[in-house]
Order: sequence, then C-alpha cells, then structure tokens
Amino acid sequence: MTFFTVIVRGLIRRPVRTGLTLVGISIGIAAVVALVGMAWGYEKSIGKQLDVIGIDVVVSNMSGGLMPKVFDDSLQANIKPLPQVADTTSVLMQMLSIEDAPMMMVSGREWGGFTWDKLKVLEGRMPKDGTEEVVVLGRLAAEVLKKKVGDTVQIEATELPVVGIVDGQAVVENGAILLSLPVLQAVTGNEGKVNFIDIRITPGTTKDQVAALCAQIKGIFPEGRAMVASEVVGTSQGFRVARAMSWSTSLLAIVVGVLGVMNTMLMTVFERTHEIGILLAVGWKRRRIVAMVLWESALLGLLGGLLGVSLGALGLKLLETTPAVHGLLEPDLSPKLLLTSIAIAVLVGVVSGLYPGWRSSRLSPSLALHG
Amino acid sequence: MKTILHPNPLTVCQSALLALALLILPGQAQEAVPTAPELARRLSTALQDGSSAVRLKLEMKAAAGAPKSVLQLQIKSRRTPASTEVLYQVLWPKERKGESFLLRKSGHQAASGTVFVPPANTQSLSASQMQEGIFGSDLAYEDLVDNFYGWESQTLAGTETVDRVLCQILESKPGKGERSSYARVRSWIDPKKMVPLRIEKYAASGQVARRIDTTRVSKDDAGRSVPSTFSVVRGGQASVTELEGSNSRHDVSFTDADFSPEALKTITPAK
Repeated sequence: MTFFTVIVRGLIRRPVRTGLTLVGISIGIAAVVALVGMAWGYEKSIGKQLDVIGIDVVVSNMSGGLMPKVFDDSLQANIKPLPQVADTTSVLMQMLSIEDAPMMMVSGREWGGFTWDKLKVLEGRMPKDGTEEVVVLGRLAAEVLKKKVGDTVQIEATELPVVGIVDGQAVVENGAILLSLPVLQAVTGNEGKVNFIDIRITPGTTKDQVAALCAQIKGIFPEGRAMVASEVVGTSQGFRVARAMSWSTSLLAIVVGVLGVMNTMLMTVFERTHEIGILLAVGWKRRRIVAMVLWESALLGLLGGLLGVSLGALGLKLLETTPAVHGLLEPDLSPKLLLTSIAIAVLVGVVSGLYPGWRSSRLSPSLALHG
Repeated sequence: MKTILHPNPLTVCQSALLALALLILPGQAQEAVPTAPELARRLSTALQDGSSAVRLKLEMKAAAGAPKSVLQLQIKSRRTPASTEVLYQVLWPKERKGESFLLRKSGHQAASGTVFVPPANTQSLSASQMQEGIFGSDLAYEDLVDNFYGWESQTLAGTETVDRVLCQILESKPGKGERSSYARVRSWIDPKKMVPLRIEKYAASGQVARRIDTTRVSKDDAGRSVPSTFSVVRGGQASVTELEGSNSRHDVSFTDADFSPEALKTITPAK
C-alpha cells in the first residue's frame, strides 16, 4: 500500500462525509469564482473599451453620483494645444433608464472624433453627420431593447430612429446607445456640456511626460482630473468597492470552507487513532503522519476546488444572460481566475489540515493502540 | 476507553467564528443619538434641497408577480422651507406621453394640484383626489408634497433593524394647523446616512395606509445618500409600485414658468 493509497482510503472511508465536505468547499469556491469573476469582468470591460477605442488619458470630474459631473465642453479647446496631445474628443455619457429596459449607457460623441473609429456597422448605417437626430445601437443594446434598424428609441422625451446596429468590440460599447454629441446634449438639456474628454497622446511620450500632462490639465481644470486610461479602472471608487465587496464575501465563504474541512479532518483523525497508532508503531515518523493528514485535506481542497470552479463558471454563464448583467459587463472567466480559485481551495485544504495534523502528531503509539 | 485526544471540533469552530466576528465587526464608536426634533429637522432640511430634476422609472403591478406596467417620468421640483412645487411628466410610453401634474404647497396650507392629460384636458385636484395614486400607482399625490418631518410632533419610538441597519424609529404626527390625511407617520431612519429605510403612514383608524420601503440607497450628484429605489404598497391592497430614480441633478435653474399650468403642456428637459 503506497502513501497515496493510504490518503485516498482515508477520504473514501466515509464517502458521505467527504462528499458533504466537498460540496461545502465547492460552494465557497463557486462564490469566489462568481463574485470575483463579476468584479474582474467589470474592470476588464471598461479597460477593454478604453483600449479598443485607443484612449490614453481620460479627463473627467468623478465627484458624486453614478456618472461624472458635466462640465463645459470649451475645456477641450484648452487641452488640445498642450504638448504630447495628439488628438482629443469629447463625450457626454449618461446612465439612463430607456423605455422598459434596465439602466443603460447612452453615449453622445463628438462627431468626427476618434471614438467613432472602431465601430463596425453590422446592419444599417452610421449617422450622416453630427446633427442628424438618430442613434446607432451596440449589438447587445439592440438585443436588450429588442430593437432593429428602422425602429425608434425614446431618450428622455425624444424619439430617435435607429439607423444602425454596430459592433464596438467591447461589451461596454456593445451595450450602449450611441449618438452624436449635440443631439444627446439637446435631448438631455445639457447643451455645451460634456463629462469626458478623451485624449490620445503622441507616440513615444514617456511616463513622466504623461504625468506632467495630467498635472497641467489639473491646473486648467482643478475640479476635475486627468487619468491615464490604465489607471481609470484601478483608481475608480466604484471598481474599488466592487473588488472589496467580492473579495470580502469570498473570504467569508473561504472561512466557512476552512472550518468545514478542519472539522472533517479532525473527525478523521479521532476515528483513526488506532490506525495512526499502528502506523507509528511500525515506524512511521510523526512528520509523515502530519504529511498524510495534510495531503488528505489538500486533496479534499483540490477536488472541492475543481468542483467549485465548474459550479462558479456555470453560475457566471447563467448570470451573464440575466437582464441586469447582459450587455453591461462581461464576467471574467480567465485561466488566471480559475487557477487562483483552485489554488485557494488547495490552500484552504492545507490550512484546514494544520491543526488536525498537529493533533495527530501528538498521539502516543501505545495509547493509540490501546484506545 | 482512555481519551487520547481532546477533540472538540465545535469549540474550534466556535472560536474561529468568534475571531472572524471580531475581525469583521470592529467596535463601533458610540455616537450620540440625536433627539427626535433634531432628527426630524435634519431630514426636513435634506428634503428642502432647492431646485432639482430627477428621472424616475415607475413600475406598477396589480399584485406581486403580476405583469408590470412601466412609466418613465421626468420630475422637476423646487423645495424651500417656505414652499414646495413639483412637476411630474410622463415621457414614455408613447400613448401616455405628456400626462402630467403640478403640485404646490406653501407652509401649513393644504396642497393644491393640477392634472393635464393630452391633448387639452386640464383639471384641478380636489382635496380628496390628493389621496389618489399618481398615474394610477400606489403613491398618492399628497405623498409627494407632505413634509411630515416638518410637523410639530416628533418622537422617537425605539429602534429596529431594517436590512441589517439599526434604525431609529421616528414618529411624526400633524399638529393642529397641519393638514394631512394621515394620522401619524413612522419612519425607520438609518442614522449614519440620514435616509429613511421604511416609512409607514397610518390612517386615523390606526391601520397602515401606505408603506414605503427603500430598496437601494445611492449617492446623488451632490454626493449625498438618497433612496434611489423603493417600493410602495397600500394597506389592504395587493398592488405594488416600484420606483427607480436616476440622473438626479441639482445644477438646474428653474423659473416660475417651469411650475405654471402652461408648463404641464410641454415637456422640456431641465437645464
């Protein structure tokens, strides 16, 4: 009988208990995959949008509310001539409840600006010019709103014809209603106002020069902030809260998992005092007994992790189809998340096995044999 | 049989849970509980937030689980300590677009209201109609202009946990000169965010006439915590109205014309 066989036999000795413990761990790991997957997906969706459009620096006033506050679009004229600025474009973005659909992104974009460049027309056409009172829908937004080319979408009090369905290559773009900036400004009563200025910087600009540019923008727009696109996700309060909430909830699930495995392993050790006594009597070192318990609990963690990752992935896929999530974000199911979750499960197993392992190593062979 | 080990998994689990509880529930500093009048004054001040515009999605269900009917509304309001004016207009659906009403209330006087139904039907609301639901919902006209936190009698009626938040229960009763169809109103206040998480309005019979539950609290454009989604039920009725506010703006300026009967007839965005 090999060392590994002893470990496996230890686990299958009580199949129901082992099974229930596995279910406990897998639920915890499924929660980690689902919650962290949503939070990472949220970050990734925004990051991908900025990347796809080719935005290097974002200027906004993030104080208060769901969306950044609006400011005068004349600010763009002051930013454009700054060194290292290759191109700028302004955007008015609003989260609006449209017809009977959940809240969605409505993006009014400066006509001719680079934010229009990467949109691929799937059906219909793009607006003819910046004054045409029409919208194009991201393909997910079209699905959510159940609209096709030729229908109308009502934004605030104005009905606007849908002239195109587009693929924006990022879930945030695909889940949005896109129209020209002056049209959205008029419809929402925000004439002359925007809440983002997107900047492309000249190739070859160093990090220090970008930092200097951001500082310069802060000088001319003290109530706002210029942020490198890659930092937008990391510094946003919303992302930080989502990350913290997902990890703290996951932590609770993990702690429950640790307690479950610890309980199972302690029971295993108590039930096998006689066996452990024999193993000690035939010359097993205490270290090996501890290793046996740790391997058992690690294996329990690994199996629970594999099961949990499958459950979590399934849960995320289901969640992705719900109206609240569909079109807004793309849950992250990257190998990094799956491997991290399995590693957490194994760690849970090992940590849970430490105390039972220590208890087993303190057994006296003679007493164990007599017990 | 000798005891070789001293296993007590439950004790281990309990200790671990206790440690966890200590980790996640750090000691909360004891804050002085404001008196009832002080609490009411703060809430009343928060309500009188000047000029604002809000988008509201209103979902009505005849009963829980029944098909819903949705309205998208635009709200303009001007609230000062002396007076309240609110204008509600239906933006969507198309067949109800333009339906609107205007409510006014000054000091302790009774509220007055005008309803407009396109193309040209304008009607004043009688005192009894003020207790009817707006656009056929469970929320009454008078609920939109009654500031019960400004009533004379305010008392604390204990504490209760609502959605895991320990709330102060504030009981408000109208004074002699104050007009309301409600005999008293109880509010469950989250003292940290200064937001009511539940409001129960009682008829003179002592029955709950309306109950409003806050289902989500968000920050508005000024960074203040405000109820952003809530549900309204009427006592003895199966219907439910759910409301979701968004895009609240306080950077708007209105003129008297924005709250005139003529303003009922056209929908203009708040600027």
